[in-house]
Amino acid sequence: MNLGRTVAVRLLVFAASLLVASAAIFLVINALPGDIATAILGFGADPASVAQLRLRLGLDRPLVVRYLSWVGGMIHGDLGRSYLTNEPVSALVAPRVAVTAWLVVISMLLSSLVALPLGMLAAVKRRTWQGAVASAASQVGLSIPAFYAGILLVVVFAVGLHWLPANGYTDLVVAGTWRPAQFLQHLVLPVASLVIVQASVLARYVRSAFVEVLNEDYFRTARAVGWTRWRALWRHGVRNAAISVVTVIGLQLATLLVGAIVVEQVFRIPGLGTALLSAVSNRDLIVVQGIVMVLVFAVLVINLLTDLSYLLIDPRLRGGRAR
Amino acid sequence: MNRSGGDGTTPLLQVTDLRIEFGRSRREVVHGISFSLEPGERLGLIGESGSGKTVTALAVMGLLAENASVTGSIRLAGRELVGLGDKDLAPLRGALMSMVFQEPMTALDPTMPVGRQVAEVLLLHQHLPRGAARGRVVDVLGEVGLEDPERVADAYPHALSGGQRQRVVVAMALINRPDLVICDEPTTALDVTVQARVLKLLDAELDAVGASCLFISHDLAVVSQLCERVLVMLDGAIVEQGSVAQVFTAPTHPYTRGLVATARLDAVAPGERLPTVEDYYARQDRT
Repeated sequence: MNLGRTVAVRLLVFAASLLVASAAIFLVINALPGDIATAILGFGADPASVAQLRLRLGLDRPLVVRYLSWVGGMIHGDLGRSYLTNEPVSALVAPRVAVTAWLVVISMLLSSLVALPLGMLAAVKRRTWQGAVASAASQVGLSIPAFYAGILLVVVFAVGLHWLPANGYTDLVVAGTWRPAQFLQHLVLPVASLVIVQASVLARYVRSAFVEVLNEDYFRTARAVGWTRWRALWRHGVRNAAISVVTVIGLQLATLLVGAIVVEQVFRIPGLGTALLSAVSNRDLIVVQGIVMVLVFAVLVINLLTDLSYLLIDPRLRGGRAR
Repeated sequence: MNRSGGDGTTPLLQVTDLRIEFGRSRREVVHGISFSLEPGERLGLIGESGSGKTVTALAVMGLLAENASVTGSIRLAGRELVGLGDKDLAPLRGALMSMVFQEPMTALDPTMPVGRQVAEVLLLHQHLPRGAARGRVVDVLGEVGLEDPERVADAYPHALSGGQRQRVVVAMALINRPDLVICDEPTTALDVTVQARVLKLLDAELDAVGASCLFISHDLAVVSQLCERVLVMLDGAIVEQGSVAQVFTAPTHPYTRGLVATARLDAVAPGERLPTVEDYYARQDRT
């Protein structure tokens, strides 16, 4: 199997997963008991206006037709219109995607920056006190839930010390002016509460990936030809460890999305999570449907990128014998 | 054949009262062994697994795990290695002494073309322009008997057979013309026909480079093909040493007698039970 075919297969799987996921999301939400029009108008509403609303929302059409028109719309970036405000769902979701993306991406980058060196140190020094300290630190971080870390951070740094805002969010660019300081100020605590947990989890995986490398024959070979321990690890360890670390980072990005939903609540950040929760409580099901689809899309893209990165890292997966 | 700067009476490698302990319990696995290796000489080190052969070799290379403690003396070309740190030992490894490992399937980095791995060994110890390194690598890969060395240099390890990989490992061990090559069961993982070819290659290459060799094996027959002198190790101690002929024909230690008997199965009369080492050497319970 050559590289082009491998990539093509991965892309096909990605497209198929999207389709299956969209069908599942649509079915689950639309097969829920309870009529949407009744939910919007309330139980006392007269049947005529309920029927009229159903007609206006297109709920009278068969399920398959409604599914196809939803999917057809999505291909053009149209997620439908809110049942409540009649606003396009995409207009509601787009700015919030950016907010959540900032939160997730910055958290992941910081987690990696902390976890990679920490995990490597814990692996190389695993028989000494430095390694024990690194392992213990990640064990502690691991056992704190993100929302709890968030609350603690607010209590200390916002309420106690007044160093940082307790909640809220500022866009990076407001009305054409850059506001990096305010932007970052608002992100410090939410990002920190996500990073504490994620970096700890990642550090443990990084540690075990490198412990494995340290026991590999090729690592001994690298040292036998004249690399020092650290340089051998850098030259021949990082790439090999990356194969398993990348898997974990991919999985963590997905869990970060979920973590972000909670943390957005704690810090009142107008991201996808807050939008999702308010749509759920308003029974605005098409918005719920749209946001869940966006989240699933993000997770599938992450998985696809993880899969493709394996091909970059591991020549054995690229297939083909020596040219 | 003396390239170590000694005067011919100084051994290339002089190991004195080497003791190796592991872990917090300081379990001693090598109990004060001494031996020496002259420049250009090939010395066999025989013993069963767990007898301390590999640990001894790794101690010479300075590649033991950090929880090992080494005492005694290991002098390479007059220089004391015991007590040297990783940074001081690294420049010697791959240049002055090198090692061929047992398991060719896992000895190479799976994510890097083998040519680059060989070139690394060269560039680590010699200042060469990149282009020159490539040419030298291809030459050496050819010298170790790899067909189409250009193609092999660009191949990843998984595209090569065990025999080919072991040739690459041999090329890495010899490319800097070291004084000492330690071979740790270099042919054990290969099948018999490949084994014979790799042994022949090692024989020729060691001669060409003029290197001394510490050859570790559990197989007396293999050692007798390559070495002049042999040490027999048992439970962390050297129980017998002498020329290969001497040890083969007149072994003194009962364990060695057992080894010789098991290596000479052709001498067993048809229908008779095959000998085992235990027939000659009743071991004490080690636990």
